[in-house]
Amino acid sequence: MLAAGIDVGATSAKAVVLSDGQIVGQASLVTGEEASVAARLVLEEALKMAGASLSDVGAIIATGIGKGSVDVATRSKSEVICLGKGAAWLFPETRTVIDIGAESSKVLRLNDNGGVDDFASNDKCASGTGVFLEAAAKILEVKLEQLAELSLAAANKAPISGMCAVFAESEIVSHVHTDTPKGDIVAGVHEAIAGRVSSVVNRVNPQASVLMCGGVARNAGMVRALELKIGFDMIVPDNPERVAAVGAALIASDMLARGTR
Amino acid sequence: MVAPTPTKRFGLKATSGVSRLMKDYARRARKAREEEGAKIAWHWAVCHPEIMRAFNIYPFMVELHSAYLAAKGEISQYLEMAEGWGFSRDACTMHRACLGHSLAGEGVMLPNPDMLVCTTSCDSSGKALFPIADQFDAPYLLLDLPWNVQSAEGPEIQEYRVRYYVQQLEELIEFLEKTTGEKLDPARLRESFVQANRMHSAWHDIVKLKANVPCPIGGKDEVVATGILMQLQGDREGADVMEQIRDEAAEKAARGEGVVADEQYRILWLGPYIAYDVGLSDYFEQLGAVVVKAELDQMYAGIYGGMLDPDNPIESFARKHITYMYNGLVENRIEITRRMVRDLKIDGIVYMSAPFCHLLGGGQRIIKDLMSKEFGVPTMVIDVDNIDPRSYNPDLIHSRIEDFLEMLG
Repeated sequence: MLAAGIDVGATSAKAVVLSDGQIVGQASLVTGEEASVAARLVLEEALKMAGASLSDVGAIIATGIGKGSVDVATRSKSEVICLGKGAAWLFPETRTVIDIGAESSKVLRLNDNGGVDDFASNDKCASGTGVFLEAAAKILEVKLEQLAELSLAAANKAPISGMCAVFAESEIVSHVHTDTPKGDIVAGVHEAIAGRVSSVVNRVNPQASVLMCGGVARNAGMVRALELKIGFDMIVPDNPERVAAVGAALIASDMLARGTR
Repeated sequence: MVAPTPTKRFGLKATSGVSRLMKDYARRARKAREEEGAKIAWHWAVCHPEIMRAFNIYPFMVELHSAYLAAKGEISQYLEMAEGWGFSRDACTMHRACLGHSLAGEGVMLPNPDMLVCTTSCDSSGKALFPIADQFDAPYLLLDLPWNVQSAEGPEIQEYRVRYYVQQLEELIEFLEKTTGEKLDPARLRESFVQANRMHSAWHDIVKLKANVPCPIGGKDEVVATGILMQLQGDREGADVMEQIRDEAAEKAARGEGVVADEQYRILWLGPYIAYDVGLSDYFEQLGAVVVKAELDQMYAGIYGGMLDPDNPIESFARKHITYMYNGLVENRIEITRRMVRDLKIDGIVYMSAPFCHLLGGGQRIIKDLMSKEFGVPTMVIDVDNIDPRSYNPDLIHSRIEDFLEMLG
């Protein structure tokens, strides 16, 4: 039997399908639909990649902010537990996990067994999250995917307040009006987000190795800015937004192995 | 399918009637003002209703009133009113709400004041005091509580600080005498202190009962009991109710009954309560966790000490208040947290950071690190305001609680 994990986040749903301890299917989907619909659609995509159907799946674990709406799930599990499990499986040397998603950022400290010893989160402020990057890209009239290249090539960093995304957006507009190069503005935005996230990182006494995940980890410029700020090199998995879904699928797989549901 | 299974809650009958008691207290105050010429005093936290009860005065704690407004879902309009007046959003939300309520002049539950008593213990309370005094044209007194900074010679309280606060309390008595036109009645003061001690003693017993596994008293029960400690110190009826709570809790403990049927985790709540979501403790209970203890009672009852001496009232009172947990070095708070974690068999700590409470917000990192190091007890920090619901997302908080409890498991 297959095991599956579904992570329904604020703006996207992710699914991972496991067979015999190997990832055989995975998918991501922007959640324009209701969480329950998005969960089914993304699972169908992942199963399609695995060449399987829903009837082949023995256990499904839902996680993420929308986990309560995933009606195909066998059980739900907390996002923090799933992130830790997924990160430790992908890279066993991981001791700190930094997850920056669309609307929140979380930091976990793992023990030698891959269990979560401590975590901290920024849930109330957009300045440490992906939506801030999306807003910046929109103001600068560039694609989200261009932000990394622009910032890594920048000569300077335009100063941006790290305290509030709303104020920061008006600062970006001011920089645009004074003809500040776009790369410098993006580098400043990355540094501001890194500052905000680093304050959450420091709450858990981070230790190497540090893994960064969540959709924002696809932005190499953001990764570099955060590395400089926290003083650690970071591992970025191939599909960084799917780490929690991997962990959920592993928990589903464990359930199947134990014969519990 | 994935939502937590609702667990039946076995709260105390004695706490369910407290809201009625508080409303009745306000009704009695209005009646006493009309029929007996009693005065109404608005006072801030730790501003000594026990001494006011030696006069024909009904004391009301303004911060508690802010909490009531928040619990009723009626706080935002008053916060906006105070912000429109110019009260800083960086200052205490409880004081901001009370200023807004005063500016509105609606007299919701709280009778208008004949006098105001405030303390320097909270940094922004004085900022709210002056405009409220202007609003009601009421006389006021700002008590200066000296910090409990230990001397280089040892951990003992410095006696000159006690003498200073005794003088402050004598000024309070002088102020109350002038405002009421009465002289202090020593017999009435003694009776008030006796009732305060009765209440404290019952509360100390209740805290000891909380060490039982399963815990017979839940988080919501403690919120209610803390309200009594805040508002009804020195009041006979308040002491009666606290003893009823103790007796009922003792019966439950003797029967081995907990506030939830299957207690899995025992939580210590640090910082203030989330007044607009007091039911949050129910969510813990749905997940098999009990908020065994909070710490806010320490401002009023001091579970490790804090009794008054009716034969030496003013000095014992000064000592109690100078040494209350938040007043001074963080070591006092650490030690009490340490004792609560150990005595009450705590599995995890939730720290409500309350960014606008400069008194309770400090010390979170050192407490978190020490409790982890000494007891292996982890801490989850919740970054929300205790009164202002405008940046609160209950779904996110529920999600974090699930994360935390699964981490404990």
